[in-house]
Amino acid sequence: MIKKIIIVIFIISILLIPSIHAKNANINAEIKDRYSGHIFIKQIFSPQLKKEYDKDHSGYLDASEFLKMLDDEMMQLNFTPAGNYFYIIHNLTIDGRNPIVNLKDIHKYGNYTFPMPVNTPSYYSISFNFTFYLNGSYDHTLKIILPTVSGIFSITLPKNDTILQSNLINARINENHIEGNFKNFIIIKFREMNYYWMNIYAITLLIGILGAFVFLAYKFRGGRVKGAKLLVRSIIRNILALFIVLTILFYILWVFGPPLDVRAGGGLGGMVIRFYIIQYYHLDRPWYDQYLNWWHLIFTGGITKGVTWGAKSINLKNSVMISLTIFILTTVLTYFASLYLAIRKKSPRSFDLYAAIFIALYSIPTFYASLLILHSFESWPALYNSLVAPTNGFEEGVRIIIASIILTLLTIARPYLIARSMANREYMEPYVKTFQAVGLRRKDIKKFVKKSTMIPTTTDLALNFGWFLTAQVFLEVIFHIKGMGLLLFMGTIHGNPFQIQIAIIYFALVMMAASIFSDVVIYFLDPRVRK
Amino acid sequence: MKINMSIKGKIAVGIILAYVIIALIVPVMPLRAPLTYRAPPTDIFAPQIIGNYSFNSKIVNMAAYENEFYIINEKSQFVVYNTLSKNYTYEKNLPPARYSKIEILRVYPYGIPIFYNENKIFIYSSKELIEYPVNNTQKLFTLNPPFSSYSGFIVYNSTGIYAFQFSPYGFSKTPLWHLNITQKPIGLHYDYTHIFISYPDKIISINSEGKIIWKDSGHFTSNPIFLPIYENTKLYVASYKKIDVLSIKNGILISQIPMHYNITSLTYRGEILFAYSPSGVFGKVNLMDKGFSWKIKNVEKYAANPFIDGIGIIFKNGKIGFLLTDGTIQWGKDIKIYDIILTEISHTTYLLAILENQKNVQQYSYSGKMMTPLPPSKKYILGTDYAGRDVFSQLLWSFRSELYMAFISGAIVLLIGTLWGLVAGYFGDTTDDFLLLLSDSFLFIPAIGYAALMIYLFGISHHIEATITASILALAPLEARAVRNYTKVVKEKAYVESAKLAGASNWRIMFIHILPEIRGISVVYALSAVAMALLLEVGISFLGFGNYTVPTWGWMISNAYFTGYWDKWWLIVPPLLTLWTLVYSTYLLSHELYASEYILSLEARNIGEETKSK
Repeated sequence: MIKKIIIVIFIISILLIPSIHAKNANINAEIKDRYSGHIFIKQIFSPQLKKEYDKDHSGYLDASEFLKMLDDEMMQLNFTPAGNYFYIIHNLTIDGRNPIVNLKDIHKYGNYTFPMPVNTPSYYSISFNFTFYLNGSYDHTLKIILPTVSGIFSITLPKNDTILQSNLINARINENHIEGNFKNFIIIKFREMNYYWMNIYAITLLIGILGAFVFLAYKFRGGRVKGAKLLVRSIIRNILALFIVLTILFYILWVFGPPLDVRAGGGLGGMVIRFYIIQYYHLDRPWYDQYLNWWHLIFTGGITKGVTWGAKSINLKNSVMISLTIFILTTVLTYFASLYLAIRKKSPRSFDLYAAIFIALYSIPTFYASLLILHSFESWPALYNSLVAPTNGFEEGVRIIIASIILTLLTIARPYLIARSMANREYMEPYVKTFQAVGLRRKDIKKFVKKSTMIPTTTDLALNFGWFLTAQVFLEVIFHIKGMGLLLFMGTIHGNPFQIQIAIIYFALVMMAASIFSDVVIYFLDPRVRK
Repeated sequence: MKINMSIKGKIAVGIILAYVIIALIVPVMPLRAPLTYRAPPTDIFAPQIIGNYSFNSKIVNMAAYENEFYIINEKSQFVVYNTLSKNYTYEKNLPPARYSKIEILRVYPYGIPIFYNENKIFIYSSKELIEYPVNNTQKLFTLNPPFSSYSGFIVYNSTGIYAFQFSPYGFSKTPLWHLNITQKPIGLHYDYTHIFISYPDKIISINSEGKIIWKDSGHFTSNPIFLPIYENTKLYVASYKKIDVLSIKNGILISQIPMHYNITSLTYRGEILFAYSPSGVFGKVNLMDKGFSWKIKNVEKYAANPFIDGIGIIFKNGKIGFLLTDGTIQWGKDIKIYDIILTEISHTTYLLAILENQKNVQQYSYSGKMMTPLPPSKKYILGTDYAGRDVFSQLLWSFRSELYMAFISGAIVLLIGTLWGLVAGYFGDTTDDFLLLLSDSFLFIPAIGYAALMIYLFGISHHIEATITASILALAPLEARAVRNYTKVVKEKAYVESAKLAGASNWRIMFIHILPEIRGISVVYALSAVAMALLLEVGISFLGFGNYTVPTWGWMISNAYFTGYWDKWWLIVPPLLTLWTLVYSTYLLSHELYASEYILSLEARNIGEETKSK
């Protein structure tokens, strides 16, 4: 057992790595925080070219001849405004996509004097900073296409990045800086060394951890436990399961997900906001960085930030409170109602009206049942209006209570049937017969039956929570209750992964809490477990 | 696997089999296309009466234009009735004559009415009734050549043909020209500069001064028609079961269009030629080939006008309706009527029906009122939805997508879950711990959460794939848990022990010895996956994540809800009932399997224990 705990602690300590490593990008930070570099391009107007434009053969270019030459020959970078920044469409791509260019740093050197001699070369140069999000790998290709232009090109990448390959002539490479001559186009291949090594490290670590886990688990496989140890094990087990499920969630949402642009929120719009999202969730980084950052965001609560991006004001705390209230109310109602209804009947063979109604409600689709119930309220306008469009806090409260009651009705069938069959069986037990024979009051017999019925009902209730939550989503959508179910729905409709994510994390947390809670309850209810 | 099924189980199996058979034979069934078929306008459009007018004396003849009715009543009165102010704006007594045989024509572009009796021709100039002293009029044609302000009419009487010209500012009572042909013409038509008149034995072309340009002999039965299309040089005129195509320059026969009926009248609307036969056939003439492109039978009478967008029809059974250029009848109304008239108010066409008592006039809107969704009828077994689509074919076509979805998810859940549970249960210890933990983890996200994730992953229009994946993710772990528990029980049995002792490999024991024991329970959970997939699909369709190119029951229900026809039972009940029956049958079947397997296994275990104890 102790050895197992050691394994668990080991895994948790791995989980804590992100809080050491990942630096939480500030949402309000400038884009310059991101991957950026400096480009310098110098175009040479050779004497031959200048001669072509010297129409009067004076040996000098006058202003009009010079402007004509610039019109025809000057490199054309296709600047396209994007917020406060620019794209250079067609000319400049990194990994096939357009980076953002900061115009503040554009410099044009036009220090020409007129008349301009033809027999010496002239220069025109431009330099700018580019900012970019990368595609999550460590090797990248930068392409600049400038047809009919030749000149000198230089680029400065961030520190620690290495230039691998280029098509520059007479290139002079100095770590992260390259300079050389070009004609028509420029191709530079470079590597982010930081992530290159991190990739090797991460894969090694992953293989190591998996191997160690399998080895240790095999070595210290354990048997049955009872008592308080069981409780501890249940909690640890549930936390582990939560960790696994969140990892699955991470993979579905951020690794297997749609292309980067869509992952950053297809419906969120706005180039800059998308840039922030990519930056915040490290979407341009390799998966291990994303993953660690994601855990960091979960631990620091930063995960809730994406929810409000591109959406109307959402009060997440309220949503959680509302959903949780409905969930807890429903659980309590279901539990006690099913217990009460189950043990109050005596004859197991008599027709069970409750079972019939509950099964009918259970077997038709949830949304249809809730709609039917909602429409049945139409004949009471006051209640109906407060259900459809509540105006104040009190009405909201009424709505939550009614929603809980409806949810109870829709989901009670299974716990009720279990409790009822258990109660029926319990009534047949010899000890109950003995009590009856002795002349114990029915009320007192019920107490015994109730205790035995409670245990399987609780166990099954915990298994039923998934169904509760599913039904709750439909209910919240139909009644427009601003809970987590509605958030999930809105997130799916708008393609907002942050809302989906937070709703599912909420579900997983609720499931975990409920699971632990039911274990604790059973621990106290069932003496067999306690000993 | 031998199962002694109760009658309930047999019914469930029967229902599921029936569903599968329906799904398989749907493509060869004579069904309407579920998404593209639209009920024809006759079915979904009902006539919409937008005006009712009643008069004291019987209407003998009538024409209408904009807000005015021009009526000749039984007292030989000419009255002008304003439909806005609802009273008479002009009344004049005419000399008594039989006004029912003639027709009140309208002269464009002003739409003013023109009619005649034995002694006179009358034109109502919107102020007064102008009289032309023309005796013995036998036929009258109005003239309004395209792109011309020249308005006039041509009259035939026993002394020949007279042409009159007028404008609303002045009426010249002396004829423009006179032509001395004393044969009664069949019909008359005109192009930009010429007038064509057909006779039973010849056709002539006259210029605007009344001179004959060409003459062509033949046997003609209808009026000539010139389609006012730019650079058109063809003139159409019917000759019994043919339509002759003549050149308008010299009258030479260019070609002939054979028809299957005797044609007595040609007309055009837009740039399309229509022909009418007294045998009750009316249709679009196929100019390239032969006969009609489409035809409407049982036509008693029609009202057509090149200036009005629509052909009003009285059928032989007494119904009236509007005919569109593609041959569809917009609506049919079964009333007894005396006559129909087309009119237009602010360029919108209306049909006026004079009822049989000749005193009441009903004004119908051209398009009528859309009457969807249609309730179930003989033609549409389960009615139509809001767009006039057949609910029955939608319902049956949905069988395919639903069953595909349900059984694919069931099969994959069966495969993955069984393997998962078998491995966990058989190997036990760490493997068991790990796999159980994994299944617990998957169960932390409810099915709807997986559905949302998958919709995000696949895109909103791939909800069937999303449903399949979501039900697999939600239910495979559940199945794995059940199978694992059961495997743990079976593993302890004596025959497994003996197989081990005999040296069978682990995988052999798992698949040859244990799998047959547990397959019942795994099928039970797979069936619950089937039911779950069906319910989930309905749910997520309702939330608005649907692929609108594939009909499903969920799509049908949500469609009914979002188009506001929640109260129409035939849109909701059939898909819901079909779904419920399938879900309930799978529940029943799984219960049946569970019971029989469970009881069998209990017996087996007890027997095993008994033998052990002995």
